[in-house]
Formats: sequence, structure tokens, C-alpha cells
Amino acid sequence: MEWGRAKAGAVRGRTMETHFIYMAVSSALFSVGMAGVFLCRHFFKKIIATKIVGAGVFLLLVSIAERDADTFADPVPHAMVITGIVVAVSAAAFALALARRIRIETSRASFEDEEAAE
Amino acid sequence: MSLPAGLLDGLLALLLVILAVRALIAPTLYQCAVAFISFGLTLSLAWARLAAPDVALAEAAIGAGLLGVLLINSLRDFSRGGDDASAIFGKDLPTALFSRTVISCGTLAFAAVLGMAMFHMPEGGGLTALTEASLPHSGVEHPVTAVLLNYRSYDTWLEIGVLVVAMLAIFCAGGFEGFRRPEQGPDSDPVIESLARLLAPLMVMVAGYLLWLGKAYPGGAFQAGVVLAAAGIILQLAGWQIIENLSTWAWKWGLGIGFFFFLALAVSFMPLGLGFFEYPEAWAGPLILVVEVLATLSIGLTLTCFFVYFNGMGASESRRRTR
Repeated sequence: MEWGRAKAGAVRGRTMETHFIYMAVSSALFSVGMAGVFLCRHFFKKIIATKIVGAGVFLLLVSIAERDADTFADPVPHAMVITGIVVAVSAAAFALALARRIRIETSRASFEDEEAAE
Repeated sequence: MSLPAGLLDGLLALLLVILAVRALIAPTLYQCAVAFISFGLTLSLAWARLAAPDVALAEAAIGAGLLGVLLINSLRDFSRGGDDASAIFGKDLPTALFSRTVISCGTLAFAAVLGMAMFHMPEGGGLTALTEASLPHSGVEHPVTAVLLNYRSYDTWLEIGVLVVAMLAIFCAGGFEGFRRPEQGPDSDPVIESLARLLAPLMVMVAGYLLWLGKAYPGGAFQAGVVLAAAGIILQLAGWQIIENLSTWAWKWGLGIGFFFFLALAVSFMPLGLGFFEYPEAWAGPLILVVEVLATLSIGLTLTCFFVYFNGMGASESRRRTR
């Protein structure tokens, strides 16, 4: 608690610009990730791209939490993001397992390279 | 904002975007994976800057650490027959070039609109004041833990469920032959084995510390569970095969106990007139601690299983190829 308050005191001084910077980054990350989802063909890269989209969303949520800081930063978005990280990693791990299985069974590494299959 | 702090934020912002792009356009898959892990660690620095140490811990542990292990582990299959990350560029280049240009312009425009929208977001005020007002009744002192395990425990409960479901899904995707082969262990490397002997007890201790810390400081069940899983993965790499040698009974109970104890707790006070997931105020602190301990055990075991089944996929494939 004491720690949280001390931290929040430090937050108040620089809250204006810090969250603006990270909001801009979050929109950039979201777009980079979206472009990656469409443009990258390899399963591995598509999965990484979806993770980057997720990172953009989480960064926006945490920036808003910092903007709304009172005595401490808003804990509800923080809790949502922690939950979100775990769920996103589970989903990515499952996607990787499926991609790996496809690779093992058909030796394909993307939706397009059917001709590459032996 | 002071100049060094602004410089740090600016550099972190630049590094995040560069690493994200790098993770998508690197020439080999291995470089993609490494760039992505660095991206996760940089992101956790950004979260520390945004006064979210809980999120930073979770990201560093699970987002960069565990997923990084899984990504590099799955490279064994993807880099067979050439590390063909360059396959992003198709053979029919003119149409690909056209669609690439359209998509790139579209996403750039989208980023601009998104960025503008973000700066026009209404000031809602958030739920900080409300959280702080109810904090004395929650049984814990750290606001994020209070949200995770008291106000919004429904989310946390289902999250533990999602982990178990994802673990089962990975198990199914990997096929059954990749699992439960206690007789044929990998040849254990003496270096990894001595490292495991040194690190695993320390990691279990760190997990317990993080768990206890969650009551009043950043930390808690998820971070502790991931550290426990890291200890499990290191032991697994050293050839201890803890999951394979676990009895089915212990395995099932270990996976389910976090989820089912949480559920039992949620309904057990309903006859007393309390709502679903509502605890009596006097008992909230101890009850939350018990839930966290059991959840940590379940999460640790589940995430170790993630890795074991993942590793088993490659092992079963190599066996099939040698056959």
C-alpha cells in the first residue's frame, strides 16, 4: 500500500506525456500486427503478428489506467491485462501446436504453399 | 516530465516498434523468435514505466519467457528442410506487390485514425476511487490482487479454466504418442542437470515469495505459478520427467484443484445469503490466500504440461521419421 502510494506520487508528476507516448505506440503496434497478420504467410509469423496486435491492445488499456491514476493507477485494467496476457499466451500456444501438427503431417508451413508439399 | 524520463520513454517507444517490425520481417524464423522475446521484455519495461509492475511481471514471465520457450521449441519442426521465413514473398510477385501496397497503405491510414481516436478519448475517471474505497473490505492490501481475487474473481476463475482447456487442446493437437514414455528418457546433460539442482529449489522459493507478496505488493498467483512452471521446465530439460512420472491421480487433481476449489468457494457461501463469488468480510484474507496457493499449484502444473506436450510433439515426430 505504502509502495503503491509512493509510486502514484511519482506518477502524478509525469502522467501527462508518458501515457500519450505509449498510446501512440499502441496504435503503431496494433497496425504493425494487423499488417503482419495479412502479409506474412508463414504460420509462425502469423502467430507472432497476432501477439503483437494483442500487445497493442494491452498497451492502450494500461496507458488509460495510468491516465486515470488517482492515488494509484486504475487496477481494473491492470487485472484485465494480466488475465488477457495469460489467455493470449494460451491461445498462441494452441495455435503453435496446431501449426506444428500441420507441418508434421503435411510439411506445409503456410496456407499457400501446397505446391511445396512433398 | 523530466528530460531523462522522456528520453527513456521515447527510446522504449522506438525500440518497441522496431522490434515488432523486426519480429515480422527477420530473414530467419530463429531471428523472428528472438526479436519477439526481446519485444516482450521491452514491453515489460514499458509497463514498469506505466506504473503497472504486476503486468510487467506477468509479461516478462509468461509473455516473453514461457511463450519464448514454446516458440523456440517449435522451431525444430519449422526449420526442417530450410528455414523458409522468406516464403512471405509469393511467387506471383505483381499481384502480391499490389495487395501488399494496398494492405500497407490501409494499415498506415488505420494507424493514423486509431491514434487520433485515442487522443480524443473521453476522460472517464476510471474505477480507481471505487477500488480504493472498497479496499479495506477486500481482505488484501494490494489493489490489483483485490480486483483479481475479490471484485472480479469470476474472470480469474475462468482464466484458470482457460489454461486447463488450452493444455488439453495442445495435448490433443500433439497426439497421444508424444506423451507418457517414462521408460525412454533423454540423455541428460550434466551441465543442465547441475544447473537444475541449483535453480529449481531457488525458483520454488521465489514462487512462494511472489505468492505471499501478492497480498500487499505486486506479485500473486499468476506470477508465482509461472515461476513454478519455469522450475518444472528446467527439471524436465534436465531429464527428470516429473510430469510423466506423476501418477494419473496426482496429475488430474493437480490440474483441477485450482479451478474446482475456486468454484466450491464461490458457491459455498450462497446458503448464508451471500452472492456468487462473495466471501464473508472477516475471512476474505485467509480464503484468498488458500485460493492463491491452490491456483499457483494448478497454474504451475498446467504450464509445465504445456511445455511437456509441446516437446513431446517433436519427439514423436522424430521417432516416426526414424522408423
